[in-house]
Amino acid sequence: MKILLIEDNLELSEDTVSFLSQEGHLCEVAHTVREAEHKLADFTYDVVLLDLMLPDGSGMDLLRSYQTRDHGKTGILILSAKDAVQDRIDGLDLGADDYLTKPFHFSELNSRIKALYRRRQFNGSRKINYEEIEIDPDQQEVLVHDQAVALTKKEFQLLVHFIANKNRILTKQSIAEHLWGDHVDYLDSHDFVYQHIKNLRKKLTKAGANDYLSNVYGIGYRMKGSAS
Amino acid sequence: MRLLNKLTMYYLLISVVVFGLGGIVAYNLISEEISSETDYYLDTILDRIDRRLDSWVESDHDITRMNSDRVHIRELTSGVQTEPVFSDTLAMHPYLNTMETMRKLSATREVGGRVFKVEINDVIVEKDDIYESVVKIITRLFALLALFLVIGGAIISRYLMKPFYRTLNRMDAFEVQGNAPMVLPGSNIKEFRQLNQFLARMTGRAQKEYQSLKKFSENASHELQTPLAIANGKLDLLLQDGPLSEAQYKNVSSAQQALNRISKLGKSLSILTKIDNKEFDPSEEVDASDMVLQCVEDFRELFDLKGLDLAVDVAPDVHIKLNRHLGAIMFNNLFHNSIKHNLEGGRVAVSLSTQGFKIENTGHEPTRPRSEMFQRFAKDNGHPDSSGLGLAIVKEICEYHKLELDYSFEGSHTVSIDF
Repeated sequence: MKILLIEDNLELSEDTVSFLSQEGHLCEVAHTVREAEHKLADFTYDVVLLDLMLPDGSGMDLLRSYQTRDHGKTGILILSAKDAVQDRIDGLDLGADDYLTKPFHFSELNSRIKALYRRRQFNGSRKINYEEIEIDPDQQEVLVHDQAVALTKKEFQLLVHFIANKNRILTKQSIAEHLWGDHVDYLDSHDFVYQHIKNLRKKLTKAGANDYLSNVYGIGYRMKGSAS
Repeated sequence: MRLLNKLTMYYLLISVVVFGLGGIVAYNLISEEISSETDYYLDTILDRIDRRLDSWVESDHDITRMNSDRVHIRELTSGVQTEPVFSDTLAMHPYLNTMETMRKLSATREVGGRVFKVEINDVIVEKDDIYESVVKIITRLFALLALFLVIGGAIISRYLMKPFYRTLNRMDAFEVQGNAPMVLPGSNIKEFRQLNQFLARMTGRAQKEYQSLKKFSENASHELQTPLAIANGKLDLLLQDGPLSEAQYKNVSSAQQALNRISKLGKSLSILTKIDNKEFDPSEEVDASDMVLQCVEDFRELFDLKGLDLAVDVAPDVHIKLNRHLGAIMFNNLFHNSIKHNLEGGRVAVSLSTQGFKIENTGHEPTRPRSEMFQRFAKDNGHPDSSGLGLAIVKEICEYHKLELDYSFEGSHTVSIDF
């Protein structure tokens, strides 16, 4: 996947690029609106990660001018420190696909990018396959060995999130934030996460799937990557 | 009281004093003039009598025949010539037959060795009459003045004060949040011009300061969240790059949790600042029933996970004036608290009607006094990790919308908001 990160902070952009490269994405960076305009004019990207506050202008303006030319072929994810509801609404109105507030977990960014990319794949299958597990995000359906498994909405989200971040350690906190956003304190949420994961594991193994989820020293969980 | 009315009142008050003093002066002047005129008249009569006395004594006429209603002459056995003496006296009125105040001239005359006492009376205008007339004149003048002052004042002030009222209207419509500068009408009155210039300057400065304050709080939030995002990202990378020892994993995870807390704290403070800056429109009308039910939906799972028994009694179509964004934060915080400060297997009761909103939950008795409940950073002992801002934000939101907020504990925590 080809990604353009528009972010003025050097350190944050370096770390984000390093993470996304690990995921196998080709990631370029623009630190200013000017730079971003040049890159967007010369290349096409699958996903653009856009910071709203840039040294030489607003990401909103960039979004406005870009959307009219691009006709929505590129997925746009806003990364902003601004939590104002109005910014969120404005951003989505202007054609952004998603809005993530800083600070965020890289696993969360990863999940969002993948979901965004999936939604934009109009040709071909949007299904997620992982070993004996097959997920149809459009139908919210999970099959294990071609047998449907009934999952709750949260369990479904959890499974997709894990597969998107396979082999990575997901802390309970980042999982809770993924599932409930700002609704929960991590204090309670750790128990809630535990219960959801317990239920998810039970349902998957009962349907005949291997148990890919493992606890990491009590701080979080990891989904084992495929053996191959 | 309007300025004009007050001004008119003071004018009239001053007029009362001036007219009162004027009345006294007029009364004295008129009295003096009348008595000096009367005295002059009596003097001329005395002159005539003097001449007549000379001729009558010479021709030996009967002097008493000179007596009349006004003139009394009698002969004295001895005496000397004196200057005329004036005095006031009571005497029978010649026609009215009543006792009236008269002006009397007395003089002694020596003519040809004979001595005569001459007394001349004349009716004078009574002091009472003068007083009455003066009072009548003064009161009528005063009434006229008052009438013209009120009517004239109203007409003139309507014209004069027009720019002032225009300025007032503009002031009323002025919004410090807006960018539009306050345009004030010109005026050829120096004071109004000064006032308008002053107001234009002040409002301009207020708007600028408001904007910079707003910018500041936005930037402060941004500047806070960015380094948090960097730190969080570094810790994420550290987690993934591992392998770390168990203790190291735990430290990384704890550090992330602490960062999360700072981030939430920053967001909460930013909301409080924005409320202080009045950046939200409080006149929005929302369907509170919808909002509460949405919250119930959002939190239902969390209630279930904590094994809480939830009772919902929400009346439909409760419309209230509430900023949508702030309202969502308010209900969220209250629902959140009802879970956080609850007991395992406890109970939460939510009710909404046109009268108000109430959320009641089981829990331990608070360790702090009720009055401190809504203070910023007021934390319950059982939750050292909570920000202590949730209820403070709820309180600010209620005050912002002029809603009555109350908390009580009688076996269970009850937070109520009266619409």
